[in-house]
Amino acid sequence: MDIELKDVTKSYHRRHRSGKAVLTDLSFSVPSGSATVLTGPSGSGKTTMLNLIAGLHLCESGSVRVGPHVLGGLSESRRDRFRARHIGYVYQTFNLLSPLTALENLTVPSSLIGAFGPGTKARAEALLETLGLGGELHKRPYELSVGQRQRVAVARAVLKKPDVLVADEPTASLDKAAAKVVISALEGLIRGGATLVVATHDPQLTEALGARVFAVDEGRWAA
Amino acid sequence: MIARLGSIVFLAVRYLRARPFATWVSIASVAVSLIFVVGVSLVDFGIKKTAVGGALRYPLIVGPGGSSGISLTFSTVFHIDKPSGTIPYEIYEKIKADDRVLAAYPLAISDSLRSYPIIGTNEEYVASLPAPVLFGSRRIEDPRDAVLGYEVALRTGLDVGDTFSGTHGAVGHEGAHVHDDFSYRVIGILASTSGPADAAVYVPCESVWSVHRHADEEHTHEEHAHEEHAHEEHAHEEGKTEKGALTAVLVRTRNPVYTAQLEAELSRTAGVTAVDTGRIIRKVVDYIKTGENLIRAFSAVTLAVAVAMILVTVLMSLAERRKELALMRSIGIGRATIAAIAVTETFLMTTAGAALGMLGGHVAVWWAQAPLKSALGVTVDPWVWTQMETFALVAALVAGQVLGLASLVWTYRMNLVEAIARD
Ligand SMILES: Nc1ncnc2c1ncn2[C@@H]1O[C@H](COP(=O)(O)OP(=O)(O)OP(=O)(O)O)[C@@H](O)[C@H]1O
Ligand SMILES: [Mg+2]
Repeated sequence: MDIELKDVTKSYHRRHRSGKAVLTDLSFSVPSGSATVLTGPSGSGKTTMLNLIAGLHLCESGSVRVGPHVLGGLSESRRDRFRARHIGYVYQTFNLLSPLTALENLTVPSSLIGAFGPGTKARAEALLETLGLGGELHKRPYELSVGQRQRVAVARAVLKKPDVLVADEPTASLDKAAAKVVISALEGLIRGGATLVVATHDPQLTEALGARVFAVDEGRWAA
Repeated sequence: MIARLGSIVFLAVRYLRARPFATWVSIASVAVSLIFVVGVSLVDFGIKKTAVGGALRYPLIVGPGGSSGISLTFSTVFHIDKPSGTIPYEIYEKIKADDRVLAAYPLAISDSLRSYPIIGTNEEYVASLPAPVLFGSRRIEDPRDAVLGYEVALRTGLDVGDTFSGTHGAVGHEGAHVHDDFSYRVIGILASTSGPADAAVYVPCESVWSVHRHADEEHTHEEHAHEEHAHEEHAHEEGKTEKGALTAVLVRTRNPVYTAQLEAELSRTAGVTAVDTGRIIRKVVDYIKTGENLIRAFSAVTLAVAVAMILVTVLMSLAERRKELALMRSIGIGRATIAAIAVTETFLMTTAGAALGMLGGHVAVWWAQAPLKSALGVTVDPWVWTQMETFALVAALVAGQVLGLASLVWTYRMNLVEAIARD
């Protein structure tokens, strides 16, 4: 699925007063099956852009299109369904449901969005295994390190074979070796035809994915 | 679909278990309010059943003049009050001969066995009791024959063929002197009726009369001035007739109109009171009703408090979980599914509380059967299902659904943009 942001303006409203716009008249597009990396200083709006693509935020003006879906025109529940079918999301830090184990954090959400099939559990276990979490399948989030949690989140996003994967600093808390397994998992997704948008400062990640870089240059986003 | 439902319940249970204290306090608060409702309604039901059952069996009770209707009913039907005064045997014969009367039974109550009344009566009355014979027979022919109610047999350990002597003085007069010169022989034991019939000893009237004739002859000179009325009247009656005096006559009429007629006619007879038991029981049931309404109101309040508590617990936990809920939404889990998880949580808590409360209420009554029996004189069956219980159960479950609705509204109104996970 290709992604297209056209003349997007986004600001966060604080109690009736409208705040300064985070993104102004932003346009960019990502071809289907490619990887794009967003880089920029903290507060430049990377997470905001990922949230727009995932349909978590709507923009005040302009439009966001993912494949055939124009997100501004979808109701909340349709956007829920859109995410369930097409989007995989890896957050910067907070990713897991606290009462569930690592493995259950993959299987239960998959079942709740109606994507759980006969092979799902075995695939989930295999995925966690490849991401170096073979010994952590039955640990709860509070028993996992930050880097381990992040890898569980990557596994959850990869498990559902999304058309679009948005990831926010997926390798930030990882050492080189752990980052490598995450990168190869993401490469696998691209080979499967997925479109990737990743916010990161990690050159290793950018290079390995052969990603186009979209960066903030003198306060403006530019390819 | 089934797998999805399973996951909803699974996650709901996990969230409940993640905060065990709040969960158990909520469950316990519902359970306690239901234990209360069930316990009270069972006792209430037992009292009503006994009272109404007794009244239906004997619509009319005839006793000595001046006695109150309630005390006459309680002493003759429920055996929980001490009878006072007597009426002549001829009254019984007259009533029995009346066309409007279906059956009449003489009662002469004076002595007791370990606080259970020894009821002098006839074969017919023992045969009319709503209890099958457990051992032996119920045909009291010889004056020494005695049939024991189920509870009496259980508590005294007396068996068919054993003998015993009565203690002078009816219920509540234990410790007075024992008539050890006259002993009864147990010829039969009745099965349990869970009613007052279990707590009495049945002997022929003749034995009661003869025990007291002898006793009176021996003790006349030593008797204290304030000796029982029954006794004095025994002495008066003695010379006039072979038959002694009666405490009361239980009457079954052919229809309620006759009951009213006989009540009026007999009450005009000097020294006699006739009581329409139906009216007495209605009065008693009315008293109970006032209490019942109070208890209903109180139960409603405790249940409301319990429910409010669950509501607070669930909403608090949902608020705590804002971030996780937003995360679920970002994974694509819809609001309906998230609401279903919250609803399942409230449903599980109220249902578990209701189930525990129901069971607890019955078990508590079962456990308190003996003290209830001695305090109220009523056997309460702990294993019946009462109407109030249905009412309470429905109330608890409906309340649970309302709570579910509240959490549902909450999840729908939650602003995802505000709550979205970002650090
Ligand atoms: N929910 C919100 N309410 C108000 N302001 C917000 C909200 N989310 C983001 N912002 C503001 O929007 C701007 C961009 O935030 P965003 O999270 O997109 O930055 P970022 O590029 O992801 O930064 P970082 O690298 O630190 O994660 C920031 O100035 C931030 O304060
Ligand atoms: Mg960010």
